[in-house]
Amino acid sequence: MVKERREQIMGITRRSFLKICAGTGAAIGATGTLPKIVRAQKRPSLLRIAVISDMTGPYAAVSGTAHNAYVDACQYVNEHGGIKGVPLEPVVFDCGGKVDLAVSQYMHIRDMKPRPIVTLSWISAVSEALHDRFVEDKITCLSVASAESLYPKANTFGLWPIYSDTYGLFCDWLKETWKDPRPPKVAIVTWDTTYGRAILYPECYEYAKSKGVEIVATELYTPKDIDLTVHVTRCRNKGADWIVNNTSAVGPVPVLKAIKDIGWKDVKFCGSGTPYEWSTMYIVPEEFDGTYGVLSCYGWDEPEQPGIKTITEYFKVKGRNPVKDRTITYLVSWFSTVLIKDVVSKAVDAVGWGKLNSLAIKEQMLKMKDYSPLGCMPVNFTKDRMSPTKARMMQAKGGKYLPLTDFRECPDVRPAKFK
Amino acid sequence: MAIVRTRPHWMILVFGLVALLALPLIASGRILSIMNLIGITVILVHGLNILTGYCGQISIGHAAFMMVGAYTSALLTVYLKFPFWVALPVAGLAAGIVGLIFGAPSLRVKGFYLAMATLAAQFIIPWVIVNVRPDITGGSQSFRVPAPTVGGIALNTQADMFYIIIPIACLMTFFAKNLARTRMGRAFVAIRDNDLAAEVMGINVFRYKLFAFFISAVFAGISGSLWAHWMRVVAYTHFELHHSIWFLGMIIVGGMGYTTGAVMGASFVRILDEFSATLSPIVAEILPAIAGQVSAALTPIVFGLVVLLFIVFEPRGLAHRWEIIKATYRIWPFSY
Repeated sequence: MVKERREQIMGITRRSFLKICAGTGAAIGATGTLPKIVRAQKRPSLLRIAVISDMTGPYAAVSGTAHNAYVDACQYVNEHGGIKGVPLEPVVFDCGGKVDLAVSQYMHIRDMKPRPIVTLSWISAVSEALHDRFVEDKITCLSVASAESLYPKANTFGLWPIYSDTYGLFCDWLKETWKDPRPPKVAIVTWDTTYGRAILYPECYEYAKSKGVEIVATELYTPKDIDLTVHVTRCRNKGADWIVNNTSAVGPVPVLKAIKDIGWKDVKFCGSGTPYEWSTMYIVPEEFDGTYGVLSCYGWDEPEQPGIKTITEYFKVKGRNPVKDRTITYLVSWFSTVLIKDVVSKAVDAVGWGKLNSLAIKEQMLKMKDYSPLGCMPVNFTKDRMSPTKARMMQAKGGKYLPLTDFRECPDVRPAKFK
Repeated sequence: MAIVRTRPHWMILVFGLVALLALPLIASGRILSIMNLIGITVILVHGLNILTGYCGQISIGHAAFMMVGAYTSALLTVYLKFPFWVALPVAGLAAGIVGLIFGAPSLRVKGFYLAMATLAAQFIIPWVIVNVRPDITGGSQSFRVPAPTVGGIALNTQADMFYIIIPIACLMTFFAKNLARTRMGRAFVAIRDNDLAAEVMGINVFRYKLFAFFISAVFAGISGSLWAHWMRVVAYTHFELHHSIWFLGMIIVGGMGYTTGAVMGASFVRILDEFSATLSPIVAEILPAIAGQVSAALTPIVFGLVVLLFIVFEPRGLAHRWEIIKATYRIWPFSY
């Protein structure tokens, strides 16, 4: 009797009370969880990529077109469905080549809401300064490829093969094509900067030696030097057959002019890094003719290639400057944007929008095997080598920059400390 | 006479310091990053102001002295595992000693010729760092530097660094301001105004010129050490000739011979740098057809224009203008 009275306290039975509690609990649980589920599956309204480039400083001749390139490339991506329906927006920062300014711009990128899904850095010095910060802030970066930008392995991937690797490719090709019984003699004439010295690691000399290529001279100059006749004469006196140079834009110009000025006819010139390209051709079209280079993607002078055809069409429609904007930066900006689109799409497939973060993007990036954005730039990131590894030998002929070989694997010539 | 004399002065000082220390609670990473950079620059420009503004000795090698401080601090913390707090004063001292060496010609030459002598520092020091022991310094490659630590905790955010850099900048400002009021500071000014007259009055000109170089380079070294640990990487390209020239530009814009001038000049130029870099993409968006050209032109044009305007309209700098404003306020509404 007492028990029954207790069970009916407040006019409800114990069983009913438990049912109500359970029901209320479930309802609260459901309302609490539901938004999370919805949030997890909800697509963002906008995705951003951040770009730090030098549009006004010493590398502006090459990377100054980054703004136009990313605007055009994102428009292309958005016109083709965005990233799973979400539009992509570029946020471009001009650091003028100043590392301190780039750091404060990076802080802005880090604090942006929504935070850009990937940051692209077009200056080696900036990538090197931000290398550790990308890890601390869990940001994935695509960067121009000095070894110090990418290694020790972290969150930074290369936009092209590192410079010592493309230099290694040149050594391979030179050995293959060298007909004379004596070994080829090469003089390195390069910028006395981080970038220029990226082919001066002891490993670079050892690799050349292992291939039977004799390095007979190493000459350094600054980006502001205009007369290199003394440097080039010394190379001639040491019997060099080839001059190798790791610079871009105006960098090769004083070397090419010095070769012409001293009347040195039987020497060949190679720009060993990917940035030796069209921007140099516009400066010295006559001297550029007949020179060699290493390029890790299809170029402007291969209009039959579908990817290049698409880019060229956009280039014309947008009225871009046929001299200033027609650079390697414009092309690689496109390829990197399409790469980001494909990587992020796959990351979303794998983890969903809710868990899309730098780790998911990095993991997908490492899964990009035998992939080529727009069919133009072979990408094969691995945990060990975080930059593209394939490139082609090119030659300038009649105002065009044309391939001499197919894409081939660059040897791994990075410094031992980064292996 | 005390630096802080009146009750309003004290109130402004206390309020200013509290506001400064509270800034990391509300400011974004970018603002803090700019503040940190300004703090580092202010320290260096104070040093240059002591040398050039007070003592009248021109230096276009201060970026190199900063480099000495940066690399000293980096090498000590990386190889010898010195704590940042020990490496910081040692870096200042190392830069000071190097400053003494390059200041030695000041006995025999002055003006343009001394500028040329200090220019040597801008070539010799980077050459030594890049070529003598590249296996230790990293040569032309970047050299990674650890974040400062306190009790094993790395101070690796902009807010953390703010609490290191800004108090040091305040301390150095206080030191610079006081130095100008000491016997040494007055000797500096006497040398600047007329070195022959100063010598006749019994001032040991060479000794005081060397003191000026030493103190100035110590400031640069401390600034360099902070730079290295703030940037977390050092490279010789961070300290080039044009940086030295811009530091001179900062004391011209701020006002040579004023402690407030160093603060104003460094802040003004750094903010202008940010402003023009921020403005160029906006202008580019408004004028998309000439976006590339606008971006490429804006920063140098703004810089050039500002320097030109200052030289024409206010050659004594922002600090002088500030003095005029203060004087006007004191007697307002009367004109004299």
